[in-house]
Amino acid sequence: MSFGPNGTSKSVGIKMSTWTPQSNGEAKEQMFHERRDLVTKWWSKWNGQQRAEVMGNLLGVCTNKQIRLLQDKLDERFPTDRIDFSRQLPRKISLHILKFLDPRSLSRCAQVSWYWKFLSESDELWRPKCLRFGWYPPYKPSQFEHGAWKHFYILKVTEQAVKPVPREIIPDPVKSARETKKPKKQKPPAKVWEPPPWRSNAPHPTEIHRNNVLDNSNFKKTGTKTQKKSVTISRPNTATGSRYTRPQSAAPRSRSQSRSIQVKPPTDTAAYEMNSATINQFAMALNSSRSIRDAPLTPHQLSLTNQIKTGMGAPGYGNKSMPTLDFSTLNVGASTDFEMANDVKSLQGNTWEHAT
Amino acid sequence: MPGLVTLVSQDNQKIEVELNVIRQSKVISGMLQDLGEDEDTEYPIPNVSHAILKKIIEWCEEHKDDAPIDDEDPNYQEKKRTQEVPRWDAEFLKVDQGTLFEIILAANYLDIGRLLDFACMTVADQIRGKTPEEIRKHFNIKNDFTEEEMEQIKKENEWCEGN
Repeated sequence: MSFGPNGTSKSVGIKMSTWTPQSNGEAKEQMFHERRDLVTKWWSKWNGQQRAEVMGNLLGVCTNKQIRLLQDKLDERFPTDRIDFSRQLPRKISLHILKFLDPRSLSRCAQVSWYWKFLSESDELWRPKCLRFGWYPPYKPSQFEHGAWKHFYILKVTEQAVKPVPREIIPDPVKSARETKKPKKQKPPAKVWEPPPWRSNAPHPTEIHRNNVLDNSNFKKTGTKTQKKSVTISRPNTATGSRYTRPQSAAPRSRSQSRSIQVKPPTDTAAYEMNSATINQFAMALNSSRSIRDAPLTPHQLSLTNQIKTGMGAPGYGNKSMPTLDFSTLNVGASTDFEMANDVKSLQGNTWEHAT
Repeated sequence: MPGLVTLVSQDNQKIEVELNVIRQSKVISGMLQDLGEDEDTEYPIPNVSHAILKKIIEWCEEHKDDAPIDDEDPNYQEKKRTQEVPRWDAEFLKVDQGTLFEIILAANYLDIGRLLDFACMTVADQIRGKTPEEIRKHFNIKNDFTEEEMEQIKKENEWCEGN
Protein backbone atom coordinates (compact mmCIF):
# COMPACT_ATOMS: atom_id res chain seq x y z
CA MET A 1 0.00 0.00 0.00
CA SER A 2 1.45 3.30 -0.95
CA PHE A 3 0.52 6.48 0.77
CA GLY A 4 2.00 8.94 -1.58
CA PRO A 5 4.00 9.47 -4.70
CA ASN A 6 7.43 7.86 -4.48
CA GLY A 7 10.64 9.43 -5.58
CA THR A 8 10.54 12.59 -3.47
CA SER A 9 13.02 13.47 -0.73
CA LYS A 10 13.31 11.49 2.53
CA SER A 11 11.73 14.07 4.76
CA VAL A 12 8.85 14.38 2.41
CA GLY A 13 8.47 10.62 2.59
CA ILE A 14 7.86 10.74 6.34
CA LYS A 15 5.52 13.61 5.87
CA MET A 16 3.63 11.93 3.13
CA SER A 17 3.04 8.87 5.26
CA THR A 18 0.29 10.86 6.94
CA TRP A 19 -1.17 11.86 3.65
CA THR A 20 -4.95 11.58 3.60
CA PRO A 21 -7.30 11.99 0.68
CA GLN A 22 -9.17 14.95 2.22
CA SER A 23 -11.41 15.58 -0.75
CA ASN A 24 -12.66 12.02 -1.09
CA GLY A 25 -14.80 11.29 1.97
CA GLU A 26 -15.20 7.60 1.34
CA ALA A 27 -11.50 6.97 0.83
CA LYS A 28 -10.75 9.07 3.88
CA GLU A 29 -13.00 7.00 6.09
CA GLN A 30 -11.52 3.78 4.78
CA MET A 31 -8.02 4.97 5.38
CA PHE A 32 -8.87 5.98 8.93
CA HIS A 33 -10.17 2.51 9.73
CA GLU A 34 -7.15 0.85 8.18
CA ARG A 35 -4.78 2.97 10.16
CA ARG A 36 -6.66 2.43 13.38
CA ASP A 37 -6.46 -1.31 12.89
CA LEU A 38 -2.81 -0.95 12.22
CA VAL A 39 -2.21 0.95 15.42
CA THR A 40 -4.17 -1.62 17.38
CA LYS A 41 -2.00 -4.31 15.84
CA TRP A 42 1.12 -2.44 16.77
CA TRP A 43 -0.20 -1.83 20.25
CA SER A 44 -0.62 -5.54 20.85
CA LYS A 45 2.98 -6.10 19.85
CA TRP A 46 4.39 -3.50 22.18
CA ASN A 47 5.52 -4.29 25.66
CA GLY A 48 4.39 -2.44 28.75
CA GLN A 49 7.09 0.18 28.71
CA GLN A 50 6.51 1.01 25.08
CA ARG A 51 2.81 1.29 25.64
CA ALA A 52 3.34 3.66 28.56
CA GLU A 53 5.58 5.75 26.36
CA VAL A 54 3.01 5.92 23.59
CA MET A 55 0.29 6.81 26.06
CA GLY A 56 2.43 9.58 27.46
CA ASN A 57 2.94 10.89 23.96
CA LEU A 58 -0.75 10.73 23.19
CA LEU A 59 -1.67 12.50 26.40
CA GLY A 60 0.83 15.20 25.50
CA VAL A 61 -0.96 16.00 22.26
CA CYS A 62 -4.46 15.72 23.70
CA THR A 63 -6.48 18.87 24.25
CA ASN A 64 -8.16 19.49 27.59
CA LYS A 65 -11.48 18.50 26.15
CA GLN A 66 -10.17 15.10 25.14
CA ILE A 67 -8.57 14.57 28.52
CA ARG A 68 -11.83 15.40 30.23
CA LEU A 69 -13.54 12.89 28.01
CA LEU A 70 -10.94 10.39 29.09
CA GLN A 71 -11.64 11.30 32.70
CA ASP A 72 -15.35 10.68 32.26
CA LYS A 73 -14.62 7.30 30.70
CA LEU A 74 -12.32 6.48 33.55
CA ASP A 75 -14.90 7.54 36.12
CA GLU A 76 -17.44 5.34 34.41
CA ARG A 77 -15.11 2.43 34.45
CA PHE A 78 -13.75 2.92 37.94
CA PRO A 79 -16.46 4.43 40.13
CA THR A 80 -14.55 6.61 42.53
CA ASP A 81 -14.76 5.26 46.00
CA ARG A 82 -12.90 5.67 49.21
CA ILE A 83 -12.33 9.34 48.97
CA ASP A 84 -11.39 11.34 52.01
CA PHE A 85 -14.09 13.98 51.68
CA SER A 86 -12.42 16.15 54.28
CA ARG A 87 -9.66 16.75 51.74
CA GLN A 88 -11.99 17.37 48.81
CA LEU A 89 -14.74 19.44 50.28
CA PRO A 90 -14.34 22.83 51.88
CA ARG A 91 -14.09 22.77 55.63
CA LYS A 92 -17.50 24.33 56.01
CA ILE A 93 -19.18 21.45 54.20
CA SER A 94 -17.14 18.85 56.05
CA LEU A 95 -18.39 20.38 59.28
CA HIS A 96 -21.91 20.37 57.89
CA ILE A 97 -21.61 16.62 57.38
CA LEU A 98 -20.26 16.09 60.88
CA LYS A 99 -23.11 18.17 62.30
CA PHE A 100 -25.43 15.26 61.64
CA LEU A 101 -23.40 12.97 63.88
CA ASP A 102 -23.94 12.09 67.51
CA PRO A 103 -21.27 12.66 70.18
CA ARG A 104 -20.14 9.08 70.17
CA SER A 105 -19.55 8.99 66.43
CA LEU A 106 -17.75 12.30 66.66
CA SER A 107 -15.46 10.91 69.31
CA ARG A 108 -14.67 8.04 67.04
CA CYS A 109 -13.98 10.40 64.18
CA ALA A 110 -11.48 12.15 66.40
CA GLN A 111 -9.42 8.96 66.46
CA VAL A 112 -9.12 8.71 62.69
CA SER A 113 -6.46 11.23 61.80
CA TRP A 114 -5.16 14.60 62.87
CA TYR A 115 -7.32 16.54 60.46
CA TRP A 116 -10.40 14.57 61.39
CA LYS A 117 -9.57 15.15 65.02
CA PHE A 118 -9.34 18.85 64.35
CA LEU A 119 -12.64 18.82 62.47
CA SER A 120 -14.59 16.71 64.88
CA GLU A 121 -13.53 18.74 67.90
CA SER A 122 -14.70 22.08 66.55
CA ASP A 123 -16.68 24.15 68.94
CA GLU A 124 -19.21 24.66 66.20
CA LEU A 125 -20.25 21.02 66.57
CA TRP A 126 -20.15 20.72 70.32
CA ARG A 127 -21.57 24.03 71.42
CA PRO A 128 -25.15 23.21 70.36
CA LYS A 129 -24.86 19.83 72.04
CA CYS A 130 -23.92 21.51 75.30
CA LEU A 131 -26.54 24.21 74.99
CA ARG A 132 -29.22 21.63 74.34
CA PHE A 133 -28.79 20.51 77.90
CA GLY A 134 -28.32 24.00 79.19
CA TRP A 135 -24.68 23.38 80.03
CA TYR A 136 -22.63 26.50 79.95
CA PRO A 137 -18.92 26.46 80.69
CA PRO A 138 -17.94 28.43 83.79
CA TYR A 139 -15.48 30.55 81.79
CA LYS A 140 -15.28 31.90 78.28
CA PRO A 141 -13.03 29.64 76.20
CA SER A 142 -10.40 31.61 74.37
CA GLN A 143 -10.30 31.31 70.63
CA PHE A 144 -6.99 29.47 70.82
CA GLU A 145 -8.34 26.80 73.09
CA HIS A 146 -9.22 24.06 70.67
CA GLY A 147 -11.99 21.66 71.59
CA ALA A 148 -13.01 23.49 74.74
CA TRP A 149 -16.67 22.74 74.26
CA LYS A 150 -16.01 19.08 73.65
CA HIS A 151 -13.98 18.78 76.81
CA PHE A 152 -16.67 20.57 78.68
CA TYR A 153 -19.30 18.24 77.26
CA ILE A 154 -17.34 15.15 78.27
CA LEU A 155 -16.72 16.62 81.69
CA LYS A 156 -20.40 17.23 82.20
CA VAL A 157 -21.37 13.79 80.94
CA THR A 158 -18.93 11.98 83.19
CA GLU A 159 -19.79 14.26 86.08
CA GLN A 160 -23.49 13.71 85.90
CA ALA A 161 -23.43 10.22 84.45
CA VAL A 162 -26.03 11.45 82.04
CA LYS A 163 -28.43 8.95 80.63
CA PRO A 164 -30.07 9.50 77.31
CA VAL A 165 -32.98 11.86 77.67
CA PRO A 166 -36.20 11.31 75.75
CA ARG A 167 -36.48 13.89 73.05
CA GLU A 168 -39.70 15.42 74.37
CA ILE A 169 -38.03 16.62 77.55
CA ILE A 170 -35.03 18.12 75.84
CA PRO A 171 -35.35 21.83 76.38
CA ASP A 172 -34.99 24.41 73.71
CA PRO A 173 -31.24 25.09 73.53
CA VAL A 174 -31.41 28.84 73.38
CA LYS A 175 -33.98 29.21 76.08
CA SER A 176 -32.30 26.85 78.48
CA ALA A 177 -28.94 28.50 77.91
CA ARG A 178 -30.45 31.82 78.79
CA GLU A 179 -31.99 30.41 81.91
CA THR A 180 -28.74 28.98 83.17
CA LYS A 181 -26.80 32.04 82.17
CA LYS A 182 -28.97 34.62 83.84
CA PRO A 183 -31.01 32.95 86.51
CA LYS A 184 -31.47 36.27 88.25
CA LYS A 185 -33.35 37.75 85.36
CA GLN A 186 -36.40 35.74 86.19
CA LYS A 187 -39.56 37.63 86.92
CA PRO A 188 -39.69 38.77 90.48
CA PRO A 189 -42.80 37.81 92.41
CA ALA A 190 -45.59 40.32 92.27
CA LYS A 191 -44.86 42.97 94.84
CA VAL A 192 -47.27 44.25 97.40
CA TRP A 193 -47.45 47.98 97.02
CA GLU A 194 -45.76 49.97 99.65
CA PRO A 195 -45.11 53.66 99.71
CA PRO A 196 -41.73 54.70 98.34
CA PRO A 197 -39.30 55.90 100.97
CA TRP A 198 -39.83 59.55 100.15
CA ARG A 199 -43.52 59.32 100.76
CA SER A 200 -43.32 58.53 104.36
CA ASN A 201 -46.25 58.24 106.63
CA ALA A 202 -44.34 60.08 109.29
CA PRO A 203 -46.76 62.00 111.44
CA HIS A 204 -44.36 64.91 111.74
CA PRO A 205 -42.61 65.54 108.43
CA THR A 206 -39.24 66.98 109.19
CA GLU A 207 -38.49 68.77 105.95
CA ILE A 208 -41.34 71.20 105.86
CA HIS A 209 -39.21 74.18 106.75
CA ARG A 210 -37.08 73.80 103.63
CA ASN A 211 -40.01 74.80 101.53
CA ASN A 212 -40.32 78.07 103.20
CA VAL A 213 -39.96 80.14 100.07
CA LEU A 214 -39.20 83.25 102.04
CA ASP A 215 -36.04 81.71 103.29
CA ASN A 216 -34.80 79.96 100.23
CA SER A 217 -31.24 80.71 99.41
CA ASN A 218 -30.58 77.40 97.76
CA PHE A 219 -33.29 77.33 95.16
CA LYS A 220 -31.94 74.59 92.95
CA LYS A 221 -32.20 72.01 95.64
CA THR A 222 -35.66 73.00 96.62
CA GLY A 223 -36.76 72.27 93.10
CA THR A 224 -36.60 68.59 93.83
CA LYS A 225 -37.52 68.83 97.43
CA THR A 226 -40.65 70.81 96.83
CA GLN A 227 -42.03 67.82 95.03
CA LYS A 228 -41.76 65.79 98.14
CA LYS A 229 -43.46 68.48 100.03
CA SER A 230 -46.23 68.77 97.51
CA VAL A 231 -47.13 65.18 98.03
CA THR A 232 -47.16 65.66 101.75
CA ILE A 233 -49.49 68.56 101.36
CA SER A 234 -51.86 66.76 99.10
CA ARG A 235 -52.47 64.27 101.84
CA PRO A 236 -54.04 66.31 104.49
CA ASN A 237 -54.25 63.65 107.13
CA THR A 238 -50.51 63.40 107.31
CA ALA A 239 -50.23 66.77 108.86
CA THR A 240 -52.72 66.12 111.57
CA GLY A 241 -50.35 64.26 113.76
CA SER A 242 -52.50 61.22 113.91
CA ARG A 243 -50.98 58.10 112.50
CA TYR A 244 -52.11 57.77 108.95
CA THR A 245 -52.62 54.32 107.58
CA ARG A 246 -53.40 53.83 103.99
CA PRO A 247 -56.64 51.98 103.41
CA GLN A 248 -56.14 48.60 101.79
CA SER A 249 -58.62 49.28 99.06
CA ALA A 250 -56.82 52.40 97.88
CA ALA A 251 -55.16 51.79 94.58
CA PRO A 252 -51.56 52.91 94.37
CA ARG A 253 -51.28 56.20 92.62
CA SER A 254 -49.41 56.29 89.38
CA ARG A 255 -46.19 58.21 89.27
CA SER A 256 -47.36 60.92 86.95
CA GLN A 257 -50.36 61.49 89.07
CA SER A 258 -48.37 61.94 92.20
CA ARG A 259 -46.00 64.33 90.51
CA SER A 260 -48.47 66.93 89.39
CA ILE A 261 -49.06 69.36 92.08
CA GLN A 262 -52.73 69.31 92.79
CA VAL A 263 -54.15 70.52 95.93
CA LYS A 264 -57.47 69.12 96.86
CA PRO A 265 -59.61 71.13 99.16
CA PRO A 266 -59.30 69.60 102.59
CA THR A 267 -62.23 67.58 103.73
CA ASP A 268 -61.60 68.32 107.32
CA THR A 269 -60.46 71.91 107.73
CA ALA A 270 -60.04 71.59 111.40
CA ALA A 271 -57.28 69.11 110.87
CA TYR A 272 -55.29 71.66 108.94
CA GLU A 273 -52.53 73.82 110.16
CA MET A 274 -52.44 75.76 106.91
CA ASN A 275 -55.54 77.06 105.29
CA SER A 276 -56.31 76.24 101.72
CA ALA A 277 -55.44 79.68 100.43
CA THR A 278 -51.89 79.32 101.69
CA ILE A 279 -51.63 75.95 100.14
CA ASN A 280 -52.84 77.16 96.78
CA GLN A 281 -50.34 79.95 96.87
CA PHE A 282 -47.70 77.46 97.79
CA ALA A 283 -48.51 75.18 94.94
CA MET A 284 -48.48 78.01 92.44
CA ALA A 285 -45.10 79.06 93.69
CA LEU A 286 -43.81 75.55 93.29
CA ASN A 287 -45.20 75.24 89.80
CA SER A 288 -43.70 78.50 88.74
CA SER A 289 -40.35 77.85 90.29
CA ARG A 290 -40.17 74.48 88.60
CA SER A 291 -40.96 75.84 85.20
CA ILE A 292 -38.47 78.64 85.51
CA ARG A 293 -35.67 76.56 86.83
CA ASP A 294 -36.07 73.53 84.67
CA ALA A 295 -36.29 75.17 81.29
CA PRO A 296 -35.03 78.36 79.73
CA LEU A 297 -37.53 81.08 78.99
CA THR A 298 -39.92 80.19 76.23
CA PRO A 299 -40.11 82.47 73.22
CA HIS A 300 -43.38 83.72 74.55
CA GLN A 301 -41.82 84.64 77.82
CA LEU A 302 -38.87 86.27 76.10
CA SER A 303 -41.12 88.41 73.95
CA LEU A 304 -43.02 89.38 77.03
CA THR A 305 -39.90 90.44 78.82
CA ASN A 306 -38.84 92.38 75.76
CA GLN A 307 -42.22 94.03 75.67
CA ILE A 308 -41.86 94.97 79.28
CA LYS A 309 -38.45 96.43 78.71
CA THR A 310 -39.44 98.41 75.67
CA GLY A 311 -42.50 99.54 77.48
CA MET A 312 -40.40 100.84 80.26
CA GLY A 313 -37.80 102.28 77.90
CA ALA A 314 -40.20 104.01 75.57
CA PRO A 315 -42.34 106.48 77.45
CA GLY A 316 -45.07 106.48 74.82
CA TYR A 317 -46.04 102.94 75.56
CA GLY A 318 -44.97 102.80 79.10
CA ASN A 319 -48.32 103.57 80.61
CA LYS A 320 -49.98 100.94 78.62
CA SER A 321 -47.57 98.20 79.29
CA MET A 322 -46.82 98.91 82.86
CA PRO A 323 -50.14 97.83 84.29
CA THR A 324 -49.84 94.51 82.48
CA LEU A 325 -46.47 93.93 84.03
CA ASP A 326 -47.70 91.12 86.09
CA PHE A 327 -45.46 88.30 87.16
CA SER A 328 -48.29 85.88 86.84
CA THR A 329 -48.10 86.17 83.04
CA LEU A 330 -44.47 85.25 83.26
CA ASN A 331 -45.35 82.21 85.23
CA VAL A 332 -43.52 83.73 88.14
CA GLY A 333 -46.92 83.94 89.63
CA ALA A 334 -47.39 84.36 93.28
CA SER A 335 -43.83 83.62 94.01
CA THR A 336 -42.47 85.65 96.79
CA ASP A 337 -39.00 84.49 96.19
CA PHE A 338 -37.08 87.70 95.77
CA GLU A 339 -33.95 86.11 94.63
CA MET A 340 -35.86 84.51 91.83
CA ALA A 341 -37.51 87.75 90.94
CA ASN A 342 -34.10 89.33 90.82
CA ASP A 343 -32.99 86.55 88.58
CA VAL A 344 -35.77 87.27 86.16
CA LYS A 345 -34.94 90.94 86.21
CA SER A 346 -31.32 90.32 85.46
CA LEU A 347 -32.45 88.11 82.64
CA GLN A 348 -34.62 90.87 81.33
CA GLY A 349 -31.68 93.19 81.60
CA ASN A 350 -29.57 90.84 79.56
CA THR A 351 -32.09 90.51 76.82
CA TRP A 352 -32.44 94.25 76.84
CA GLU A 353 -28.76 94.73 76.37
CA HIS A 354 -28.74 92.28 73.54
CA ALA A 355 -31.75 93.86 71.97
CA THR A 356 -30.16 97.25 71.90
CA MET B 1 -40.99 27.36 24.47
CA PRO B 2 -42.03 29.50 27.37
CA GLY B 3 -40.99 28.56 30.91
CA LEU B 4 -37.74 27.04 29.77
CA VAL B 5 -34.25 28.20 30.53
CA THR B 6 -31.00 27.01 29.08
CA LEU B 7 -28.17 26.19 31.43
CA VAL B 8 -24.63 25.77 30.19
CA SER B 9 -22.52 23.41 32.23
CA GLN B 10 -18.78 23.38 32.78
CA ASP B 11 -18.04 21.50 29.57
CA ASN B 12 -20.16 23.87 27.45
CA GLN B 13 -23.05 21.49 27.10
CA LYS B 14 -26.51 22.96 27.13
CA ILE B 15 -29.40 21.67 29.15
CA GLU B 16 -32.94 22.99 28.95
CA VAL B 17 -34.86 23.08 32.20
CA GLU B 18 -38.27 24.21 33.23
CA LEU B 19 -38.25 27.42 35.14
CA ASN B 20 -40.24 26.25 38.12
CA VAL B 21 -38.02 23.21 38.45
CA ILE B 22 -34.75 25.03 38.65
CA ARG B 23 -36.09 27.72 40.93
CA GLN B 24 -35.13 25.52 43.87
CA SER B 25 -31.61 26.68 43.36
CA LYS B 26 -31.41 30.03 45.03
CA VAL B 27 -28.40 30.92 42.92
CA ILE B 28 -30.15 30.27 39.62
CA SER B 29 -33.37 31.97 40.67
CA GLY B 30 -31.25 34.92 41.73
CA MET B 31 -29.54 34.85 38.38
CA LEU B 32 -32.92 34.77 36.63
CA GLN B 33 -33.93 37.84 38.53
CA ASP B 34 -30.72 39.64 37.73
CA LEU B 35 -30.51 38.77 34.06
CA GLY B 36 -34.22 38.68 33.38
CA GLU B 37 -36.18 35.63 32.35
CA ASP B 38 -35.24 35.83 28.74
CA GLU B 39 -35.66 32.71 26.64
CA ASP B 40 -32.57 33.37 24.58
CA THR B 41 -30.28 33.89 27.51
CA GLU B 42 -28.03 31.04 28.46
CA TYR B 43 -27.14 30.78 32.08
CA PRO B 44 -23.62 29.56 32.67
CA ILE B 45 -23.00 27.16 35.53
CA PRO B 46 -19.22 26.97 35.29
CA ASN B 47 -18.58 24.96 38.44
CA VAL B 48 -20.77 21.98 37.67
CA SER B 49 -20.12 19.28 35.11
CA HIS B 50 -22.74 18.10 32.70
CA ALA B 51 -23.37 14.75 34.37
CA ILE B 52 -23.79 16.27 37.82
CA LEU B 53 -25.99 19.05 36.52
CA LYS B 54 -28.25 16.44 34.98
CA LYS B 55 -28.41 14.66 38.31
CA ILE B 56 -29.28 17.85 40.10
CA ILE B 57 -32.04 18.67 37.65
CA GLU B 58 -33.39 15.19 38.16
CA TRP B 59 -33.57 15.85 41.87
CA CYS B 60 -35.17 19.24 41.35
CA GLU B 61 -37.84 17.73 39.13
CA GLU B 62 -38.76 15.25 41.81
CA HIS B 63 -38.95 17.97 44.43
CA LYS B 64 -40.48 20.77 42.41
CA ASP B 65 -43.77 20.61 44.30
CA ASP B 66 -42.22 20.77 47.75
CA ALA B 67 -42.92 23.77 49.89
CA PRO B 68 -40.00 26.15 50.03
CA ILE B 69 -38.00 25.89 53.21
CA ASP B 70 -36.84 28.57 55.54
CA ASP B 71 -33.33 27.89 56.70
CA GLU B 72 -33.61 30.22 59.65
CA ASP B 73 -36.73 28.55 60.94
CA PRO B 74 -35.85 26.80 64.23
CA ASN B 75 -38.51 24.19 63.57
CA TYR B 76 -36.78 23.27 60.36
CA GLN B 77 -33.42 23.14 62.12
CA GLU B 78 -34.88 20.82 64.71
CA LYS B 79 -36.50 18.66 62.05
CA LYS B 80 -33.24 18.52 60.16
CA ARG B 81 -31.49 17.20 63.20
CA THR B 82 -33.92 14.37 63.74
CA GLN B 83 -35.27 13.36 60.37
CA GLU B 84 -33.98 10.65 58.11
CA VAL B 85 -33.32 10.85 54.43
CA PRO B 86 -36.57 10.09 52.55
CA ARG B 87 -36.60 6.91 50.58
CA TRP B 88 -36.56 8.45 47.14
CA ASP B 89 -33.65 10.68 48.06
CA ALA B 90 -31.79 7.81 49.66
CA GLU B 91 -32.14 5.86 46.42
CA PHE B 92 -31.17 8.90 44.42
CA LEU B 93 -28.04 9.36 46.49
CA LYS B 94 -26.96 5.75 46.22
CA VAL B 95 -24.04 6.64 44.02
CA ASP B 96 -20.32 6.28 44.28
CA GLN B 97 -18.54 8.58 46.65
CA GLY B 98 -17.03 10.71 43.91
CA THR B 99 -20.45 11.55 42.49
CA LEU B 100 -21.88 12.06 45.96
CA PHE B 101 -19.24 14.58 46.88
CA GLU B 102 -19.64 16.32 43.56
CA ILE B 103 -23.36 16.55 44.19
CA ILE B 104 -22.60 18.05 47.59
CA LEU B 105 -20.29 20.60 46.03
CA ALA B 106 -22.79 21.45 43.31
CA ALA B 107 -25.70 21.70 45.75
CA ASN B 108 -23.58 23.97 47.89
CA TYR B 109 -22.64 26.08 44.89
CA LEU B 110 -26.18 26.29 43.56
CA ASP B 111 -27.52 26.79 47.07
CA ILE B 112 -30.07 23.99 47.14
CA GLY B 113 -30.36 23.59 50.89
CA ARG B 114 -32.34 20.41 51.11
CA LEU B 115 -30.30 18.47 48.60
CA LEU B 116 -27.16 19.54 50.43
CA ASP B 117 -28.62 18.37 53.73
CA PHE B 118 -29.74 15.03 52.36
CA ALA B 119 -26.38 14.40 50.72
CA CYS B 120 -24.53 15.35 53.90
CA MET B 121 -26.81 13.10 55.90
CA THR B 122 -26.00 10.27 53.55
CA VAL B 123 -22.30 10.76 54.19
CA ALA B 124 -22.91 11.05 57.92
CA ASP B 125 -24.81 7.77 57.81
CA GLN B 126 -21.77 6.19 56.26
CA ILE B 127 -19.66 7.35 59.18
CA ARG B 128 -22.10 6.52 61.93
CA GLY B 129 -21.59 3.25 63.76
CA LYS B 130 -18.12 2.62 62.41
CA THR B 131 -14.97 2.22 64.43
CA PRO B 132 -12.10 4.58 63.68
CA GLU B 133 -10.34 1.89 61.73
CA GLU B 134 -13.43 1.23 59.63
CA ILE B 135 -13.84 4.93 58.95
CA ARG B 136 -10.26 5.11 57.81
CA LYS B 137 -10.82 2.20 55.48
CA HIS B 138 -14.10 3.52 54.14
CA PHE B 139 -12.75 6.92 53.25
CA ASN B 140 -9.20 5.87 52.50
CA ILE B 141 -7.66 8.02 55.20
CA LYS B 142 -4.09 7.63 56.27
CA ASN B 143 -3.54 7.22 59.97
CA ASP B 144 -1.04 9.92 60.81
CA PHE B 145 -0.95 9.34 64.57
CA THR B 146 2.03 7.77 66.26
CA GLU B 147 1.50 4.91 68.66
CA GLU B 148 1.69 7.15 71.70
CA GLU B 149 -0.67 9.71 70.25
CA MET B 150 -3.08 6.92 69.41
CA GLU B 151 -3.02 5.79 73.01
CA GLN B 152 -3.62 9.26 74.34
CA ILE B 153 -6.41 10.14 71.94
CA LYS B 154 -8.08 6.83 72.56
CA LYS B 155 -8.00 7.61 76.25
CA GLU B 156 -9.45 11.04 75.66
CA ASN B 157 -12.36 9.58 73.75
CA GLU B 158 -13.15 6.47 75.70
CA TRP B 159 -15.85 8.22 77.72
CA CYS B 160 -18.49 7.11 75.25
CA GLU B 161 -17.32 3.53 74.80
CA GLY B 162 -18.30 0.48 76.75
CA ASN B 163 -21.79 1.25 77.88
